[in-house]
Amino acid sequence: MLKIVGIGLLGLFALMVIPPGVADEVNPMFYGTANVILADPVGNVLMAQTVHNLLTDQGETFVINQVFDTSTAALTGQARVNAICIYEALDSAFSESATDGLSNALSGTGSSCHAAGSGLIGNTNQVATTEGEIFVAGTDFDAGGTISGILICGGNGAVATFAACSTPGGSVALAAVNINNVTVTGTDTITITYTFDITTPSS
Amino acid sequence: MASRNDKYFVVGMAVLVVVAFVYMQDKESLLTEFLNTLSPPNWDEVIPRDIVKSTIPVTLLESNNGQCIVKAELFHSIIDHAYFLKGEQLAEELNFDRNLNTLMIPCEKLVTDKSELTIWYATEEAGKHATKYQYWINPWNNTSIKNIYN
Repeated sequence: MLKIVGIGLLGLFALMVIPPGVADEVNPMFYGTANVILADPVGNVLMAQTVHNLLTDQGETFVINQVFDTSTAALTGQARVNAICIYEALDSAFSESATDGLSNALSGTGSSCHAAGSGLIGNTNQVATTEGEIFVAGTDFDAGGTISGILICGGNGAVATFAACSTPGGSVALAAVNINNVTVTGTDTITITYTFDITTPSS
Repeated sequence: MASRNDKYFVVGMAVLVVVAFVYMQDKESLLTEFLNTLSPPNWDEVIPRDIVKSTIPVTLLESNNGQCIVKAELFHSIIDHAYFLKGEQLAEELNFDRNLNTLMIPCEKLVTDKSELTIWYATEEAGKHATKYQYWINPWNNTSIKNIYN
């Protein structure tokens, strides 16, 4: 009996001194989140969500080139990252490998991409926030359409609305956000705000 | 009858456990990791990037013996998200009926017929609080929800 107690204590001792296999969380630099509000035509909220994004490989290259590559022409004004695009695609499409050429199954003749108004409405303490962009079912896409993700795009120039992240050309998808499948019916609206945060823990 | 060696072994192990308890309190170990899985999430220890927040309205349909059935139209959209690894666990906890889009909630948690169900969960990358979730039920306030998520 004592031997069993002793072995139990030995086990407990081992659990107390062996470090865990999972490393502590590391604060990532450069991350973004999308706030999404689904509402009915009179503004009653049907669902609200905050989901973090994945910076795409294309977007990271874009940032590096714009900041460091002296052979890359710097974008100006509204050609910068300033557009929010809604997509219907597989969950896996909203990954680091997403590009501006992502295929969009969202039907309708409207505009899947909106320039984010006048661009940034806030740029304080290393956090940038875009204006909330409102997409309307039956106008920007067919009523009953399912939105499964968002691309944050740039390089599109001074256009208010357009069909896809890849148009009119010279475009880039900075980030992809998986919001699961949100079906938007009637003339319901979906409002999207994007926040990009490069705050460091010590700043 | 325990031998003298067994007694020495137990006493020695007990001393080691006490020493480990005193000197390892601020250190992470397999034991603290295990105990951490049993504790509720501390959202102050999770960076915003790793928290997914969702809010939906729930509307009272009927009550029976202190249990309220509420309509939760878009609950499935929250629990089915690829980042919510314990979504099914929450669905079971709230007795989610996928066909009717209803939940069963203790009536004492509902103050008004229309309430907000807010769910926070930590993603897989969230360190020691990874995959934990928590939910709250509050009276519905359309304006405040818009302000929070805008």
